[in-house]
Amino acid sequence: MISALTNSRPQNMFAAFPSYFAPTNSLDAVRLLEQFNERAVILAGGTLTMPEINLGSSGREAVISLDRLGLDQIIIDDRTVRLGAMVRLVELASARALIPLHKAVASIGGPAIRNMATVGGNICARHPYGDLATLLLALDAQLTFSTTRGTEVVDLAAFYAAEDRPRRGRLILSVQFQLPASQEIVFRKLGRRCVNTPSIVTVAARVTRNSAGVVDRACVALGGVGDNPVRSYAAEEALTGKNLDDENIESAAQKAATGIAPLTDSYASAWYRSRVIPIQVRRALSELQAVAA
Amino acid sequence: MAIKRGQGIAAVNYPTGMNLGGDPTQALIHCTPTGSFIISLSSVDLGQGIKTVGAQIAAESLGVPVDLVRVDLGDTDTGPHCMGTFASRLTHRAGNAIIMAAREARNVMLEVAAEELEVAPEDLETDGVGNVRVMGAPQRSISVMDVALAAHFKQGRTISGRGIYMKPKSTPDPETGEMDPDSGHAHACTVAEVEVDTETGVVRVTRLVSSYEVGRAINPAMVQQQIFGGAFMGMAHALYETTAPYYPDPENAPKDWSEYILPGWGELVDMDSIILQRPLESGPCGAKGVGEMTANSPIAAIVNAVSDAIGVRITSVPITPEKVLRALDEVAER
Amino acid sequence: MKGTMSSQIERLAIELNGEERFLLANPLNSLAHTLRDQFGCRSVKIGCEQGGCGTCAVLLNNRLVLSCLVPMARADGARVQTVEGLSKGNQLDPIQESFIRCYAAQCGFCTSGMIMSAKALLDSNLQPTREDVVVGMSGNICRCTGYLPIVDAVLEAAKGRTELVPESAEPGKGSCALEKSIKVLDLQIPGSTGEPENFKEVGKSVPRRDLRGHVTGRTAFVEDAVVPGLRYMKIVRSPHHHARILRVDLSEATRVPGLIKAITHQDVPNNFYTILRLIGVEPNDEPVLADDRVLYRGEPIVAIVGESPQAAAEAARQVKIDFEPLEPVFDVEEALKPEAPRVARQGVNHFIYEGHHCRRVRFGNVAEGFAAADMIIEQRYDTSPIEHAALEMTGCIAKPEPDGRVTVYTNTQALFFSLDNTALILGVPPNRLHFVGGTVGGGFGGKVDVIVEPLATLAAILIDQPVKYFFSREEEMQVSSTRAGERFYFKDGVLRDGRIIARQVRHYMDAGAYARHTPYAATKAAAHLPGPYAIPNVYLDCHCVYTNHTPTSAFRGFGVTWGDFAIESQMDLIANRLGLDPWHVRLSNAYRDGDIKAHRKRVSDAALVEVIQAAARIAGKELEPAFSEMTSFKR
Repeated sequence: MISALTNSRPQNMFAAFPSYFAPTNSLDAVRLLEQFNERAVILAGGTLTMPEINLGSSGREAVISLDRLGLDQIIIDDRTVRLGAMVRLVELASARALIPLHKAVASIGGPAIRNMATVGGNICARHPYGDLATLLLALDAQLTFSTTRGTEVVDLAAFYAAEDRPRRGRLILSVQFQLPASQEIVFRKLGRRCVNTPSIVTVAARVTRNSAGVVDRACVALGGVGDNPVRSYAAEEALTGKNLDDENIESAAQKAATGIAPLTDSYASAWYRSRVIPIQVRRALSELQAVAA
Repeated sequence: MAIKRGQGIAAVNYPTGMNLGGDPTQALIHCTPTGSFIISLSSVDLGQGIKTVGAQIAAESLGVPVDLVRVDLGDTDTGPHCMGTFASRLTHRAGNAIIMAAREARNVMLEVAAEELEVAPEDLETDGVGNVRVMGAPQRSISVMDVALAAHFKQGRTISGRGIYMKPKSTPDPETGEMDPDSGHAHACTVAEVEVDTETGVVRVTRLVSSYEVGRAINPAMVQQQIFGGAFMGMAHALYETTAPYYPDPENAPKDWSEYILPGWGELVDMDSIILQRPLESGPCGAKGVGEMTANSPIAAIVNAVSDAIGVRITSVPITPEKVLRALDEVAER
Repeated sequence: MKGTMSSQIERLAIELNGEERFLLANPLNSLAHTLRDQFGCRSVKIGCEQGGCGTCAVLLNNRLVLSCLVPMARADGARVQTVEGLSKGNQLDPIQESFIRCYAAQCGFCTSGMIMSAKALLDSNLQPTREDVVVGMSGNICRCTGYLPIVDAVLEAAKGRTELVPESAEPGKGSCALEKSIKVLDLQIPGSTGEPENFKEVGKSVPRRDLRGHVTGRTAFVEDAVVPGLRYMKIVRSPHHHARILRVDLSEATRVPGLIKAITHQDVPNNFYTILRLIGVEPNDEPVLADDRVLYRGEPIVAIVGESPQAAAEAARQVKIDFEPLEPVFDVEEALKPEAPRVARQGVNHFIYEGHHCRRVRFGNVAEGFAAADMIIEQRYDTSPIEHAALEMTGCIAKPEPDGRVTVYTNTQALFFSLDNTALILGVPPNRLHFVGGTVGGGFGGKVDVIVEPLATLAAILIDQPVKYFFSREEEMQVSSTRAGERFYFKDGVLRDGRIIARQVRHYMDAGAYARHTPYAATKAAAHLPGPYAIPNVYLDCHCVYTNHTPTSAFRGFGVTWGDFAIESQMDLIANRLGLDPWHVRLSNAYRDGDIKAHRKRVSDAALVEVIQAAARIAGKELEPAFSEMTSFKR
C-alpha cells in the first residue's frame, strides 16, 4: 500500500529513496506541498525529477506524483483550449485541433521525451527548457492553480514575472488560452542542432491584423534568454498599429531585446544571444509577413 | 541574410603504435581437439573490432577459414600481456603477435598432417577452406579437424603457438629530440564544404570527401566504420564540443548530454571516401593503425572551409557561431 | 534486504515481453534499474540516468520511453517491451537483422536503445522517409558510428518488413550503404611485383563477430557482471579549483543508515598514482585521495561505500569539509610565469624533460632558414578541452574471492596496465589481482587513467565485500579526464613558391592539475610536428603545463589531433599569404620516401601525395600536371 497523507516526517529521513506520495485529489496534493515545501519535489513527466532521484543525492524527503489527479484532459470548447498540467506533449502533437502548437512541440527533445514530458513541466521548468511555455506566453495563456484556499487564476506572464517562485502550497492544474489561427502565429527556435536541441533563442509570436493589414495586437515572447520565457513588450509596441512590413519588422526586431539581459550558459554567451535576438525576431516576423493576412 | 560557401582541405599522417615503442603485446594460440583455434589475448575491444580482425589475421596465418578461429580476450589470468588498446597500436601489435603464434601452431599442424599423410611437411599446403593437402596432389588431403584429433589423441602433439611483438623502446635525445617514435604512418586527406549563415554564424557542413591510406585494410567494412565514425567526431570537435565553452575560463562547464554540445542526426553529412593501400613492412599483412586518424583530417578541413567561406581565418576551435560572427565583425571593421 | 531500500516497498505487476511478472520495488526506483537488476534485461543500458542518451529506451504501453525516467510506480500494470522480447529463439527481428547487415554498431552500447527507437518508429510509420528516421531516432546518441549506418539500417528494416529481403543481403556481400561506400585502391610501388596479394580472409569484409550480441542486447559489458551482494562507492569531491583542506568531518556521514565505510587518504597504502612510473616517467604527483590540498574542482577526497547507491550518495552528501580556497590559474602561459599560483607539488608548473622545461626538437638551423626566407608567417592557434563522451561510463566491480584474490571487472582500455597500477597503489602482489574485461562501450582514451580500480579494489579488500564504483554521467562530464586544450605559436619561413624552409613551433599542452599521460603526449606531439612535410630546419618546444583545470589525458589522437588542426590551418595561411593554391602548397612540401624527419627518422612508408591526389579526384579538383604527377616514391 502506498503510504498516503501523513503529518509527521517519514521515518527514515535518510532512507534510500524519498517517500513517495500519489495523492488522489488536489487538496491533498497542495497540503503535501505546503507541508514539505522545498523538501519535496513534484513528479510530473519525470524528465526533470527522475534524474535527481536516480543520482540519490538530492536531499529531498518527499516526491509528490501528480499521476492520480486526473490532470490529463485536453478540453477544447469553441476556440478556448484548456490543457491539463499532466497532458503529455505527444498528445498535443497528435491532436489535429492543436496544429498551431505542433511546431513548438516538435522542437522539444526526441520522441521519448515528448512521450513523457508534460505541459505543466514545460511551464515550470527553468532554462534551458520551456519552449512550449514560450508559445503559451505569446498566446496570453492563463494558469489555473489549486491552493489550500481554493483555485486561483494567474496570467502566465505574471507567473513568470513574479519574484517569489516557487510558492508554497500551490499546484498548476491547467493552462488555458484561445486557439489562434495558424496564420497568426509563428514559432522559431535557434539551437546548436537542427533536431532535439536546447534553445539559444526561441521566438514565439502571435500577431493579429485587421483587414487593412495593420497590426491590432502583437504578442511576442522570447525563450532561451533567461530563467523563464519573457514577453518582449518593446517589440510588441513597435508593431502595434503599424503595417507588418520590412521596415516595421526591422524596427521591432532591433527593439526586441530592450530590457532583457540574456544569460550566458554552455550553449551560448549573453553577447551571442543579444546579437541573434533581433535576427531571430526579424526572421520570425518575416515568416508571418509572408502569410496572407 | 547571406549564406557563404567555402571549401577547405587538410592532409595528415598518423603514427602507428605507442609513442617511442616499448609497448609489447603477446598472443597465445591453441587448437581444440576438433580443429578450432582459440587466440588468447588480454587485449581490449572498444568497438574498434579486434575480436573480428584478430580472428581474420590468425585465420590467414594458420591457413584455415575464419569461422574456425575465435578470439578470447580480456582476462589477465588467461590472456598473456598486452599493453592496451590505444595509440592505434592494437591491430599492429596484436596482429603481429598473432601471426608469430599462428606460424608456430601452423608448423605443428603441418608436421602432424605430414605424419598422417606420410609426406614431408614442406610438401603440404592449406587450402583455406579447412583442409591440409599435398601440393600438386590435392586429392591427398586431411581435414583440419582430423589433424587436430590426430595431434591430441594419436601423436600427442600440441598444435599451439606463442607470439609477441614489441617495438624496442626509443629514448629521445634531450637536446635534439632525435627519436624513433613509431612503427610507420597512415595518411589521410579530407576535403570539406560548408555553408555559413553570416547573420547567426551557424555553420553547416555540406560535403566531406576523404581518402585514407591504411597500409592494408584487414576488414574494409570495419575501416569504413571508422571513416564514418571518425568524420562525425571530427565535425564535433571542429564546430561543437568542449568541456570548457569559454576556455581557459572553466565556467559553464557542461554537466550532462544536454549541455555537452554534440552534432546530432540532423547534422549528418554524406561522405565520399576511398581507402588506399601501401602495405607497411612491419605491419601484420601490411596493416597500419587507422582508428584515430579518421577524426583528424576532417577537423582541419572544416576549419579551413569556414575560413574560406567568410574570408577571414578563425584560429580557435571549436568554431562556434559566436566566433564566426566576431570574425566577420573584424572583417567589416577593416 | 535490510537497509537497502526505503521503508516503501510495493508489490507491483508488469507485463514484460509478453509475460506477466510480479515484483517488489520501491515506487521511485527506476524502471531501467528494475529491468536490469530484477529481470535480467541487460539490453537496457545505463548511459546517463538523466534521459539524455537513449540507451535505456524501452516501449511502455507501446510508447517509446526512457526507462531511467520512469519510476516503478508508473510502470505498475504496464506493458513493457525490451530488446529481449524482439527475437524468438534464433529468429531475429528484421530490425536486428538489418542492424547486422548494415554494420550499424561498433561498441554496441547504444544499440539496444537504437533498436527500440527504430521499432517505435516503424510500428507507427511503415514507410519512413530519411527525415522521419532522423526525427524518430533523435533521442539516441552514438559516439562510435557517426549515425549514417544506423539511418541505413532503419530504412532497410522498413523495407524488410514489407518486402522480401534479397538473397544477397548478408554482411560482406555489398548490400548496404556502408559497403557500397567502400572503395579500395592499391598504390603501385616501384620495384614491387605489382601482383595482388592472394589473401583468403584478410582484406575481406568478414561479418563482425560482436554484432549479434549487440543487437540482442547480450554483449556483456562490465555492469552486466552478475555479482551478488554488491556495495556501492560514491566519491566526495572538491568544489574548489584550488584549496587547502583544513578539516574533514565524517561524523554526520557515519550516522547515515546504509553507510558501510568512509575511506580517506590515510587508508590508501601508497597514495599516489603511478601511471607513468610503469613506463619510466616520474614524478608521482597525483594522490588517489587528496590529503592536504586539492588542485582541481572534482578532485576526490573521501570514498564512501554504502549498501545502495542512494545510501552512499546520502552519506557522501553529509561529509563536511572545511577548505581554505586558494588562487587558481587556468591559462597555460600564465601558469608558467614565476608569480603564478603553484599547482605542482615539486614546485614548477610544468613537466621537466631531462632538465629542460619542454620537449625539444632541434633540426637544422631555423635562424638561417628565416634569414633565407622570402616571407615569415606567424600565427597562434588555440584549442579547447574535449570530453570522451563514450556511451558506457567508466567503472569497475571489485569482487573478493574465497582464495584471497580480488577479481576486478573493469572497462579499462588496458588490463595489465590497470592491474599493475592498482597493485602498486595497494601494496599487494600483482598476482593477487585478476582483471577481467575486454568488452568496452567506447573508450576513445577515456578509460586508461586507472581511476576507479584502485579505490574499488581497496574498498573490497577492506570490507571483504564486492564494491561497484562507476562514474555518473555528471562525473564523466565534469570530473573525468579530457583531451587537453592546447596552444600553438607557429613561425614559418617560406619561399615564394610555397616551400617551407624553416618551421618553429612553441606548443603548450594544458595537462590540468596533474600529469597523467600528458608528459608522454608532449613528446608525441614533438614527434608529430612539424607535420608530414619535408622541412630542412625545424625548432620545436613542446610544453606540458599544469593548471587548475581538470587533469587531461589520452584521447583519440593524443598529442596529434590538435597539432593537425594547427599545422593544416597554417598550410592554408601560407597559401593565402603567397596567393597559391592550398592543394599545391601541400604537395610541394609533402614528404617522400627517403626524406629525413625533424626527429631524424627516415621516411619509408610515405603516401601523403597519393591521398591528396585521390581526394582531389573525388572532389573534382584539377591539379596542375606538376602536382598530379608527383609520387611519394621519388622526388
